[in-house]
Amino acid sequence: MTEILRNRLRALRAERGWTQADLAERVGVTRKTINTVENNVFIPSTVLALKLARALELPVEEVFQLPPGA
Amino acid sequence: MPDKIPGPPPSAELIERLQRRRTRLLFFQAIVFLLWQTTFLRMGTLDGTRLVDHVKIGSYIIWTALLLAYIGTGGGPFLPREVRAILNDETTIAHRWRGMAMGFWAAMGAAIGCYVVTLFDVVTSREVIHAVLTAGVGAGLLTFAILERRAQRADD
Repeated sequence: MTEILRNRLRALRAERGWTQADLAERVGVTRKTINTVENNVFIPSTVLALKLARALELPVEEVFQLPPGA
Repeated sequence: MPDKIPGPPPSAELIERLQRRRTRLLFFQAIVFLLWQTTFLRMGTLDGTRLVDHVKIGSYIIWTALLLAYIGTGGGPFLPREVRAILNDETTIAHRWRGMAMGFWAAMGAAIGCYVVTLFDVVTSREVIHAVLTAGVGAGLLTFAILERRAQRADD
C-alpha cells in the first residue's frame, strides 16, 4: 500500500515569498528534501513535519493532512 | 568543560553546492567502478603470483571497501559536523537505505547466477566473491546516485 500525505508546503512557502532553499535553511535540511516533500515523493518524519510547521508558524495539521478516507 | 559555542549555520548555497558535487561524484564513481570491472573479465589470468595481480586485487578490495563505507555513511568525513548533518538529512538517509536494499538484491542475484554457472563451469571462490561484491556495491551506489539526482532537480 502506498502511503500518501497531502501537504500545502509549496503554497504556504510561496505566500511568504520563500524559495525552497530559504525554507530548507530555516529547517536545517537540504533543498532536495523540501523539493521531494512538496512533490509528495517523500513523506517526512514527524519531527521534520513539526519543524516545517514551526518554520511556517502554523499548526502541523494546516501544513499536512491525510487524504479523505485514509 | 564548557560546551562548544555553535557557529553560524551553513548557508543554503554551500549545502547545495556540496550536495551537487556529491551526486556528481557518486555517478562518476559508480560508472568508473562498473566500467573497470571489464578489465577483470579475464580474471582467470590473475593467479596472484605476480606483483601486478596483487596490486590489481588489492586496489579492487580497497576501492570496494571505500565505496561500501560511502554508501553506509553518506561520506564527507572531513566536513564540519553541522554540514555533514544537513547533507545526510532524511531524504539522503532514505536514498542510502534504498541503495543498500538494491545492492542486497543485486548481490543475491549475482550469487544465484554464480551458483548456476558452477553447474557448467569451474568458478573460483575469488571470482564468485568478486561478482557478488561488484553487483552489490555497483547497484547500491548507482541507485543512491540516481535517487539523489532525481530529488535534486530544481523545482523553484
